[in-house]
Amino acid sequence: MESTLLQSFLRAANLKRWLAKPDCPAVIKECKALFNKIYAPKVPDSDVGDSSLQDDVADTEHVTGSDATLDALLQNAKGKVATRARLRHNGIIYSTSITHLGNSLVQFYPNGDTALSPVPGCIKHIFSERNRLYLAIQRQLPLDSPIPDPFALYPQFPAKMYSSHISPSLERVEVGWIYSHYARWEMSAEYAVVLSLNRVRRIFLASVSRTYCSPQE
Amino acid sequence: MTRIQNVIRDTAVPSWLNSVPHNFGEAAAGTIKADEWRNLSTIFFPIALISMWGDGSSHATADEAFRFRQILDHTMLLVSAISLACMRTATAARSVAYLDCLSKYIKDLVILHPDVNYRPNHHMAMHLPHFLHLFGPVRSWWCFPFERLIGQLQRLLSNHKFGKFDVVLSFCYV
Repeated sequence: MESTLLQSFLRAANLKRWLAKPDCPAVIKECKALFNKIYAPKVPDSDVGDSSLQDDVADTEHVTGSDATLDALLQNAKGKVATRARLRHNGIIYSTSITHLGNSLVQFYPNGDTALSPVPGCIKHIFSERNRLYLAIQRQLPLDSPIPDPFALYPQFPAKMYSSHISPSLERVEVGWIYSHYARWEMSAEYAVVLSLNRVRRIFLASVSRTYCSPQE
Repeated sequence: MTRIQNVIRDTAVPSWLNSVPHNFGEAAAGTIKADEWRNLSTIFFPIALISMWGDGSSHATADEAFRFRQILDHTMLLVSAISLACMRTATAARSVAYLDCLSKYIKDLVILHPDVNYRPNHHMAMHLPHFLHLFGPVRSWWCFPFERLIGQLQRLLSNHKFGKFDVVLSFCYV
């Protein structure tokens, strides 16, 4: 048994070495790309840094008229604008709400101002303009009528009640403004629970409604 | 239980958060692993319990409401302690807050649940602030990487004959 184990280990090592060699045939290199997709570790390496450029997501050129709200947001855009389904930033994947709803729910600093509390929103589009990536986000609306928030009593549990509706207008957000993902559970047709998933810093959501300002066009 | 299953099923979470069994509580769900317990207890349980028993919920009698509220507040102490301990940065203030939550939780445990006895884990959890102070965030010294390795080793196929097996293994890893 030991020799079998050792042999298979050596064979695997030889195979890896062969795949990494420059004189490996192109067909086999294609197989390597496939192997990497299947067997690559699921957990992203956080030390990689900004790897959005290494993404294998194809950009699609934005066609005016496909979405009126996005057109309004991009009316002052210069150069070619391309949309995409997802992007990777610091090893974390963000995607549009159509692609993966959970990955599209992010809290971000309004206008990148870290002095303000992050506000929750849903990524509707991801677009690149002059080689920079931006997100078009619809904010989660605050509650219409003030009701007692049962989550406010537990300061160590960063959840808060919001309206289950999202703002119809889009807001342009830079990738660096993102604070973290959040979990959302729709309690009823009107109310949704928003729970911050940041495990590094904790900013209490109690002050969010105070700092809420109307989304900028 | 149905409420917890609903919350697990309907909550939108990002893909980096490991999934938990949607049929939690049933035998078919299997053994819950440590990471699944953590996600359940810091995300899904509190959302479900607060929405059922928290402020603004309605119950048959005032006594029942009071009892559920007591249990909820008590459980939230444990939830707070877990999320404070599992943060990726550790501060002195967090360590103090953890100890505060946990000691209140342990003190009230036998009052609210008279049929429960203290376990060694309750005692060990009280030592955690000391380790946070000495070694930093739990993530850098918890045993889950080693547990994962043990899991991999256990899943290796073997013929149950132990000879040079360990030598070869250590040779491979080196």
